[in-house]
Amino acid sequence: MTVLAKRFLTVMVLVVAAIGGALLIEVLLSLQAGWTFGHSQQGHVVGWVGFALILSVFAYPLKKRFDRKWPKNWFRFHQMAGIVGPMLILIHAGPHFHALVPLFALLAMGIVVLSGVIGSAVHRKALQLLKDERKELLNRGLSPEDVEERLYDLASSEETFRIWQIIHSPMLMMFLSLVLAHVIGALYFGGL
Amino acid sequence: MAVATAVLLAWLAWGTAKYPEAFWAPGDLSRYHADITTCAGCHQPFRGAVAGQCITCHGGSRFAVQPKSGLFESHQKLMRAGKSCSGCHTEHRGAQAQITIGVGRWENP
Repeated sequence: MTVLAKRFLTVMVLVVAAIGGALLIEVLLSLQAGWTFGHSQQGHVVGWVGFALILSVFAYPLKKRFDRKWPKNWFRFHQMAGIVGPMLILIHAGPHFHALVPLFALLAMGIVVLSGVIGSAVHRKALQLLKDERKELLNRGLSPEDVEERLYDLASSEETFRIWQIIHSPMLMMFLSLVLAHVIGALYFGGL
Repeated sequence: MAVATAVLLAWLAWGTAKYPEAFWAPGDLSRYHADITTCAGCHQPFRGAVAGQCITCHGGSRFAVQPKSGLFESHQKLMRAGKSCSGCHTEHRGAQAQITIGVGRWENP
């Protein structure tokens, strides 16, 4: 098995284990409470905490636009919050699927998380390509300014990254809209 | 993207008007309340299912004719003590579900 295949398999197993684990936690909490955890006060609190953590992922994309140097630590936090937040939501939701609005919000969340995980892999590959190309051009004797100019086009038109952006950004808009609808609906029918 | 959001909002509005339970309810109503067809029958906006709505149907006369004679007095006591209906009763757990908590378990009302 190649290194890539092994790494892919590891990630897949971890993802399935994480999702299964979070859902199992909700089932156990529900059995303990005597009824659906997600509808209890604590269940709502877990939902709010997960939501707050998910909102914190926006700190990184904002910082990235204003900083000259790539804010690596902020990105690491973005990755962590983008995993732990949704896991808390899985504990809040549990394996209960009835109303369409929360269900679609959950699905949208899943797509955003998945696209994020895939995106970091795509990005890593694109960065590697850029580094290799830069080394190649410098070796051929071009000046650093020339190299940067040539690479700019390559960097901005990296096809795979463009496709990823087309999925990640719109999907998270849909997710936010659905979450807002779900929260407002829950407060409307359940009381403040 | 703005179009997609607009479509989503339109779908939500349509669904809420036509199939509110399918879009928003966390579970089916029990067979005891299956005759209630509107959300507003029990729910008040941003207040949940309030006791006032329960008492609209489950008023004094309805209790008085119950076969279990103790029910009327026990509920009068609870109401005087200011206990809310939702302290022991809940809904949206499915058609076959129980809606009363008794001695720590779910049982027949």
